[in-house]
Amino acid sequence: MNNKIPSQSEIDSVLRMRHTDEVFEKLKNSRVAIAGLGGLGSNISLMLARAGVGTLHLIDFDRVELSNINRQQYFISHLDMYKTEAIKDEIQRINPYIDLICDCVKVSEENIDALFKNDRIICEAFDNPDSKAMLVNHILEKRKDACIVAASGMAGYEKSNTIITRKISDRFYICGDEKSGAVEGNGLMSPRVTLCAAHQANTILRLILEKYDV
Amino acid sequence: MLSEYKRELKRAERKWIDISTVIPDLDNASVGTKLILAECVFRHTSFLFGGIFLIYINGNAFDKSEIKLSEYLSENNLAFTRIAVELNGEILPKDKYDKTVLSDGDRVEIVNFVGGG
Repeated sequence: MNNKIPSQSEIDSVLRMRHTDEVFEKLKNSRVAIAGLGGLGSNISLMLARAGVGTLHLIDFDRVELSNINRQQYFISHLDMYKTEAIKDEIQRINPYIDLICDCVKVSEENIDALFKNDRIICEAFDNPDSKAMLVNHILEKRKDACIVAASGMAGYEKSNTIITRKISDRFYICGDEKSGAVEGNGLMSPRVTLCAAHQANTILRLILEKYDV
Repeated sequence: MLSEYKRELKRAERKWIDISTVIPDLDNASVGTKLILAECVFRHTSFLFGGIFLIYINGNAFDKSEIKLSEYLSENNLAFTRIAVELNGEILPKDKYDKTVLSDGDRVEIVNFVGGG
């Protein structure tokens, strides 16, 4: 096992080589907020970290539980840790030079404006459908300068190709099949949750890189 | 100017009108004006032959002159607290759901949030 941590310029130069200068710079200078660090948010934040997004704003109030491990990007060693702390640990093992802003709070109608005031790209990655709708409606109504990439419907082991990205407007994209909710007998499983997370992460990369179609 | 023609034609949709009162110089009108005129003529004719009204909800066309949004939502078991509605490209605030009546030409996208993430 090699414990040597590469320098920032070493990491940057391999990303630059893979992505081209233009893409590398755009990603490095970008900032993305991820609301919820469960099955969607934990996967999305690691994907964006690997891609080289410069600043990640990570929001979750919850701790890692054993029942999360079936689909969320945490390990047994993270049990009982706050998800913001656990994901920080993982991101720093991928790229220690990413700026991380962690907020260990529950998002509510009252704190949305303050919480997301510096974010222009917001990823909705909650579990609860009322929270999802609350965040999406609030951002679309009150934050005309921001866009939101949300998710709905990814439970079970239904066909992979039912998970899609739909563009609702210039500021609103939705990923998932829009119907498979998590219910008893059709729980959340890693593959479809990760598929949906990847749809969201790729949509966010495209927004940063100014590609607006789906 | 185009939106004025469109409004005027829409107002006159249900009766025969003299096009020259709305677009005086039809021969030299722009392509855009002619397209709007063609759409209005189509709707006018449709009305005379039994009526085609088109309301689009999530891409599906409904041949109805109006649809009350709140009725559509309850018929489809869509809970107010778990959806986002865009009407003609703009987010519709929740306090407007009750009084919104969709009419011919409206395009609506309803996103239903289910649990899981």
